[in-house]
Amino acid sequence: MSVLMEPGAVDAALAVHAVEKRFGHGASVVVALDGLSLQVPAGRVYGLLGPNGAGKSTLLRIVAGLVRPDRGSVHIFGAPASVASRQRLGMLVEAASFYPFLTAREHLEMFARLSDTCAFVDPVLRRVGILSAADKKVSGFSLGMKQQLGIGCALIGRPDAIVLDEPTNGLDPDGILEMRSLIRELAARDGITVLLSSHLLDEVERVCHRVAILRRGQLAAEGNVADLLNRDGRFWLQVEETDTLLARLGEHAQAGDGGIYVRLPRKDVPDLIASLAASGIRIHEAKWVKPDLESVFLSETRDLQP
Amino acid sequence: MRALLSGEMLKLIRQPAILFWGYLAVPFFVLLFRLGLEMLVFVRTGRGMGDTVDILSSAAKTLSVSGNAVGHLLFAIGIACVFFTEYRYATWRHLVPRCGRPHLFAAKFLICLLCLAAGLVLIVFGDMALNLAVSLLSGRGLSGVLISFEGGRLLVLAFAIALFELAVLTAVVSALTILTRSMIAAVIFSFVLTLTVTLLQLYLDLANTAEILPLPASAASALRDWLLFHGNAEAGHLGLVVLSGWLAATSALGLVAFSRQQLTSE
Repeated sequence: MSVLMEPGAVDAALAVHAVEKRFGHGASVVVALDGLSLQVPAGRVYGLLGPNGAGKSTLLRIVAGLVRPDRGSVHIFGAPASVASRQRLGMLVEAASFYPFLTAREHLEMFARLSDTCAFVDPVLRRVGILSAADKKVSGFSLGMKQQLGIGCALIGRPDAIVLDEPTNGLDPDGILEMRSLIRELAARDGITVLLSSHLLDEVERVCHRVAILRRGQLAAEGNVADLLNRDGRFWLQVEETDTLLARLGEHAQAGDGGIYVRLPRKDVPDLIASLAASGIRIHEAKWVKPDLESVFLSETRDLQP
Repeated sequence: MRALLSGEMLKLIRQPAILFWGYLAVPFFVLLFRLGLEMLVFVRTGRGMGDTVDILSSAAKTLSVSGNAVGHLLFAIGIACVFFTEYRYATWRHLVPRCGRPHLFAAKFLICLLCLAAGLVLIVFGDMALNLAVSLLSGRGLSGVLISFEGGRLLVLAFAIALFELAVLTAVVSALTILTRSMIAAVIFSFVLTLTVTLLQLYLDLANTAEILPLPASAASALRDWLLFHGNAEAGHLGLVVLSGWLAATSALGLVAFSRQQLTSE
């Protein structure tokens, strides 16, 4: 799937245009990103999905300025990516890593001084839920607390957008729920754009408005979560003459779950039902079956693999 | 830049072992060595080392320790740690999106220079305090020490040369730490570089000639001989050029390498 767009479109918090990145030389070259273009709309939660090696981390590192793209451009709120435009971004890239000899408060104070936001240290500590451990050294933190501090570090500069890479890694079930709630709140209440990279399809489905699926450095699918789920839906019906109907529908139908799955656009379902009824086929049960994001993900990332 | 500098200072203060061994151990051991020497002479002869000591001139001579191979080893550890911390704990990811890479490099370079300068100041004050204490304890009161204008001039020159030499060391170690992403490689290389100069100077007997090796320790030694001990001016000039060249080349190398470095994983 290719998406054409203008670099740095005004309403996009983050716009990536035709970005290419290769690692290595000669025969051992690895194509991490292959002309990737996507836009993260402002004020929304945008999910980034993809199997290992799809290019998610490379993309985030390019956005953060840690890695330089070979070609293409990145725009942040309409401005070319630079130290100045990245001031509007808060980032939690890959695993949360910190200075073990500093406390959580010292981390936030240090980063707050860079953005002149020292007054927000305590509110941020409270918001991410580690105020009680603020004066403990990070070396004693659990993985979940480090993730919370990572979010705090991303928020301390009062950004307009934050990039979160696997933010629920290491959190217990309560922590995961709190984190999801925080992410939704950041977008809904504070108007902060969230780019969320995650392996947890269920999480992306629950939290994100829009999602991009990467495969081998390219955009495999992109759109609103609801649209993606509807797009791959199937119609299931249970009839008395299963074999007859299977033969009649041909390659569009397959048996399953005691009935027949028919792949067709949702708008054509009433016509199919009317046609079956008119031809005397007795229908016992019929329903539209929505796929989950996992099905969409697997169909987009596995179908075309050699 | 002030925010970056205070952040770097906080990191050093919270790592007291690195702060001590990297920046304070040299002044501490210099003081200890001088104290031991004074005590040895006192025990053997029953009196101090000299009749009257120019404390500024004495401190200037003590600053020659900036060219000592073991001193370089310890200072190199301190410098390398400042840069290597971000690779070790994978924390460039916090700093690079927030600040320009040249600023980050400059802040680390400056904090190293500040700490090295503080170390040199400690050496100066330690030496002066020791001379004063020896004079007082030997019953000579303040008549055992003197302060001269010439001593002050020597001290300023010695301090400048020592800091210049350590600035070159900072540039070399920082460039190597960035290029290799390894503290050990940078420390060992800079130590071997200084040790090689020391050994070559002994073998080639360069002390009384205008020849210098195109290496920082040799250049600094020639510069020190010229300005402090009325040595060969030609060698001194050459030393100044060589040191300036090393400083410019290696700091530029470190800056360019860091600016272009792919931080795929720290």
